[in-house]
Amino acid sequence: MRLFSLCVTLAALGATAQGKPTLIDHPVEVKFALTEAQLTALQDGFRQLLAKSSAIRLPTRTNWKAAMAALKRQDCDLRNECLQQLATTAGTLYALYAFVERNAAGTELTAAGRVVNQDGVQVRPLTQVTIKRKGSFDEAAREALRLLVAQLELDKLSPVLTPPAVEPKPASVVVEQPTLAPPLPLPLPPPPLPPNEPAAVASATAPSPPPPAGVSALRVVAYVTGATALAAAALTVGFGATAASERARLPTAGLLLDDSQVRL
Amino acid sequence: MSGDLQELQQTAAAGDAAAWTLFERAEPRLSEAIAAAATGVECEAVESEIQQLAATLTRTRHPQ
Repeated sequence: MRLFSLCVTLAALGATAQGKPTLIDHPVEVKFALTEAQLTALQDGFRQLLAKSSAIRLPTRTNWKAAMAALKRQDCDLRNECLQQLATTAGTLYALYAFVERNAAGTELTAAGRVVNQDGVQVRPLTQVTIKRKGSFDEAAREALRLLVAQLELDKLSPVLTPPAVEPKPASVVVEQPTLAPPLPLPLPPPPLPPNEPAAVASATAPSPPPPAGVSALRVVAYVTGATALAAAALTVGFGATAASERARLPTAGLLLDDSQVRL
Repeated sequence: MSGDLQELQQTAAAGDAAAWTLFERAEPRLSEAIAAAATGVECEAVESEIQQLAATLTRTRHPQ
């Protein structure tokens, strides 16, 4: 029991950190030539820079790798949906994309980045920081990224996502969207009374609304059709009976022998 | 406990490069141990390792 409560306590300790906004970083893209070791060091340094901030929480390397492996797309530089997917996969509120580029002369470096939340809303538009290069490219890139993180004001990200404000719509617009309302049951005609039920009972019940005009017309058509069918059936039975009675008068050999039979 | 690791990650990031490297090397194994812990004993063992790492990082940050 003590051990169980230890695990519960540890879980609770983890939950207490939920007050900070969580953010996952897309690997920094470097748009100029660096060695593999320099690129790795730069990306690792950027992660450390973000993790250092006490105002946000960054996934651990294991969770970061799992989220990046599940992303399977490379358009986070352009598409908010990509960063939204990254944040959703990592279970963070925000995702950050950043890149570093240099000018043609190699005298300036620019770091740029943007942040998208889990709803796909860009909460930090593309922000750029340009510095003059003094040392090596990787040192300048590190400095530019440091300034970019400060410029993005990640410490001011909200720890909760608020739904976007919805402007109130005029009543007429709401009426024009009937599909949003729950479906209403179709009006049904009152059930027919049994034929032997007294009229007084019917009048004692609560007054029912008069049936719609369309239903009465259908009823009339049904009565006419039924009466026609009954008349046709009676006519058929009459013809059948006449034929059966006259059949007995026919000669058994099938030949007409006298004039009286011919008249028939 | 993953929350503990995130706190520890911040501590390491705020330290020097050695602290960061130490944490980055230990974190995958600790994360795996946390995910695999199924009993209270295993849970306690992982927590013990985390505490040791936290103590190391603190010493790195504030050398006596």
